Amino acid sequence: MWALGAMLCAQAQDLTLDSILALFAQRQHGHVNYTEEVVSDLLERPLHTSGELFFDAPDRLEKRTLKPSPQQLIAEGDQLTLVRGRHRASMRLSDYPQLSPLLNGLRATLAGDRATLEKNFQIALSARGEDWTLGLQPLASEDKPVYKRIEIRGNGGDIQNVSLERSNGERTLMTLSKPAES
Amino acid sequence: MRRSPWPGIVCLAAILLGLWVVAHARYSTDLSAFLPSAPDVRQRLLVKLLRDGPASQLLLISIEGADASTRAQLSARLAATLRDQPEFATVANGQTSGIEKDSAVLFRNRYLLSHAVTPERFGVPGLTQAMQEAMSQQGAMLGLTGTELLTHDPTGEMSQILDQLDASGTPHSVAGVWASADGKRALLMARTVASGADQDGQRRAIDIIRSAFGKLRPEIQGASPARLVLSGPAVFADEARQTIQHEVGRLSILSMILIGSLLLLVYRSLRLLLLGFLPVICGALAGITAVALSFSVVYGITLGFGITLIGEAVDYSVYLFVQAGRSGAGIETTGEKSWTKSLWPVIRLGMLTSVCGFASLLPSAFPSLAQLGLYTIAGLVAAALVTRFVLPALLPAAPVFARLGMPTRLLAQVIAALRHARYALMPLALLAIAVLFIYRDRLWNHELSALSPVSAAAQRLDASLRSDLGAADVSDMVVVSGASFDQVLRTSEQVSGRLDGLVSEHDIAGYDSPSRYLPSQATQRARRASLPEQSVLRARVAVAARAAGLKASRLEPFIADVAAARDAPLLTRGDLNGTALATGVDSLLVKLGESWTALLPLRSMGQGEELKSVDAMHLERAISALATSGVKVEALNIKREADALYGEYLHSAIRLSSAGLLAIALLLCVALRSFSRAGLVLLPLALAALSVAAGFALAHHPMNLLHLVGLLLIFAVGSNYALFFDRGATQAGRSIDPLTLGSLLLANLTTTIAFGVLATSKVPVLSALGSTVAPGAILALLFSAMLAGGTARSASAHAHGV
Repeated sequence: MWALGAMLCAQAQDLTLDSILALFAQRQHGHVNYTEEVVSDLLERPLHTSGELFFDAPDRLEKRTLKPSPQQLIAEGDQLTLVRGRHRASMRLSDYPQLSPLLNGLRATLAGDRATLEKNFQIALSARGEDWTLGLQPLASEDKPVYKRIEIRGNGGDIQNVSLERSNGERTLMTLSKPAES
Repeated sequence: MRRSPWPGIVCLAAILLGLWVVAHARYSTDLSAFLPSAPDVRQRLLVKLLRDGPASQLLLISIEGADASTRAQLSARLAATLRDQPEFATVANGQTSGIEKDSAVLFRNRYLLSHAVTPERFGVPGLTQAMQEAMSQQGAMLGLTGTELLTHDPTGEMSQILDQLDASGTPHSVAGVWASADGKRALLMARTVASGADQDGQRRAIDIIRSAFGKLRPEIQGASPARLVLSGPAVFADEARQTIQHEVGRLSILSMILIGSLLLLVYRSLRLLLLGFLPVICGALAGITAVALSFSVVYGITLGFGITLIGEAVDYSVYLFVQAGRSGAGIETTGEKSWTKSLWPVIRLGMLTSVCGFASLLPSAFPSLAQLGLYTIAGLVAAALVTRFVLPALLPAAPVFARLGMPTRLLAQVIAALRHARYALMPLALLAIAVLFIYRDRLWNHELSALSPVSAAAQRLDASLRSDLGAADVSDMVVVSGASFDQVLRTSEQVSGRLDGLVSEHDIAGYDSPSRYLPSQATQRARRASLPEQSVLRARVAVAARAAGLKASRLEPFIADVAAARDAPLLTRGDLNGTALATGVDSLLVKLGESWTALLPLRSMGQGEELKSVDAMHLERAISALATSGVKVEALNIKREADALYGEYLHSAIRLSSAGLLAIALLLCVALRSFSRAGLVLLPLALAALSVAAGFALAHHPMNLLHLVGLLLIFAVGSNYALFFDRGATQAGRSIDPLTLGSLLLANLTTTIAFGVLATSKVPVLSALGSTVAPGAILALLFSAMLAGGTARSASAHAHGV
């Protein structure tokens, strides 16, 4: 995979991992709308949620869900906080290996942090012109990896969607869009 | 004339015996010395709550200095370290990983623990609604966590339970951990396994926190400016213990040095100085021995009070030595006769009046006061006996010259001058009485906290940490008591139902109950009975799941779990061992004597300074009619009740002191065989006590139990001086001889030094006693001397001799 990625990167006109990450690294803050679709054999039809995403370099990612019921999920450092109404629960991300790969991968990408990405994932990049797809496969240290693959698609310095596939066949697809200028 | 060797031998044997007892006695610096021992069940509950109630296990930890993210890192690492220690039942800092340990127990028993479990919830509409709510609530997490959990728990009982447990007010959070409202300190809350009564266990827990923080700080970058601040009852108890230990040592040594220097200055003889301390040392030994033999423990604070014994017991030898100096040839030849005949009866009477005064403390419900009484009585008797029977034999044959000439002459002149002004004492007395009358409502401090050795600054810090953590110092609570554990739990559930009503009406902000952590057997049985049979559930799930958008075929884990729950045994206290739930139950449901007592602490509305007290009327109405046969339900305000209890003791102490005063008066009447002489001995003492009390009133310093004891001591101590003036008047005809006056001056100075040193103590009870008796002793001497002229004239008319 890595070899393939490197080969693709070598084609001069396409974006390289470094140039993509450099684009992200320039940006200190990000704010987008998202819609998320969860596909599972438990669910009759895919579950849709939507809201906003906020990113502050280097490591604060907030998922503010508005529909169907408002709640906030804030990852900051090793801390994951869930706020729902008056309730607030915090936990250490490192205590929950089933959650950390996605959040860490996303945050490292948004921060343009290649070292962290390479430490935690096997990276595969395919790019054509401005369009690119970054495949992150967790360097599984556990016996039963929860995630099979994380895929981030983008165009230039913008992420368009994030999809992840779990070992049990469940899939989550998150589509991002620029918020309407207010 | 040969002396019998027996007194010396008896004394030596007694000293050895005393040393053995002192070495083997149990000593305690427990704060219970400041708590009354309580006679009835309700008061015993109160005292137990104050000593080792749920609040006593709480440690408030604050990390200050450094920057917010460093503090957060320290908080997280410290919490993680402490959670691994068996000394802590729970450690909370805003992260939920503490709950992990318990989540297996919670998850396995979710159908017994969730409030939401009813027969309706397991009907088709109930299941549908529960599933829809769970999906909507957990929707944002599902993308991250996957749906595995939902196949076991589609109705969301687990998150229901976590909500139940997390019903308390949540503190502010900065960088993911609890922080103060201003964000300047990270906060943690730890509950010790050791109860408040287990001082050593709590001390160990405190040491673990301090050393864990000390080890962490160098490991985290930028953490060097960070400081650790601890608060909570255990910390107070520990600090009080150290303060008392430190103070008792410091004050004893200071008194000894000051009194020793004074005596050395007067005697110019090391031998006399050491001999002078012999009655003191014997007295202290006798005092500790008496207390150790009569009480299970000797309170550290008793030893602190005992410092006053130094000042008093040294007086006896002062009288003896000065008297010996008078003869010019020691006490050996002619001295002994005159000493035993003339001086000893006065000392003995003075000692007996002191004993009468202190005896009135013996029945006190405050253990420290009763110990003070016994310690002093035994100490004074021993010191007097040693002075009478042992010291004369040890005095040097060579003359003893007490160098008291100059100050004595000065004092005599001052007294002569003041004696002309003795009529001014009348308006002074009237003034003092007027002041006491005007301030009669503010004379006494009726709060138990007046005796607390915890400093005001520490109390303020504690209050601010508590307000930030939402761990308000529990004052209001509902108490449920009954014969059986489960019965009390059942009633607690009913009380909880009523309290929910008060929460929704904003009468209270919230409450805690043991039934939150362990439902009663009846409630669990009802919840278990709500679970439908497997085939019925499967049919209902098929319908409900479709309506909620779930595939019923994937919900078999749920159906299997419910089937297992139907057959599972009910949850008992033993099943919770090792979880935070167990701590919750144990701290709120305690066995007192034969009955189980549940505590439901209430959180009042508002915060910090604006904390509103709970409306007692509403509370009483809410919990009325819940008591059944065998189960009592009462509202209790700890502070109010404790102050009422203390007030009772203050009044009983006033009664006891009055009785002690009466006993002193009777003793004097009998010994002096004259009402008027007894009256004239007591008059200057009463005047001194009145003046001191008026002084406190004018200084707006309300008196507590120890000031009262101090006032009594003014009589007990001052009677010595007054009796000498009485004797001077009857024997010398006109007035007291200069040498006796000198010895009184010296005795008075040593007493004033001992109590004065006590007055500088940081422990309120010690300083209260010292600051009352030190000025009182000076005034007693002064007033006695001023009034002695009158005594001389009136007494010489009907002199009886002593």
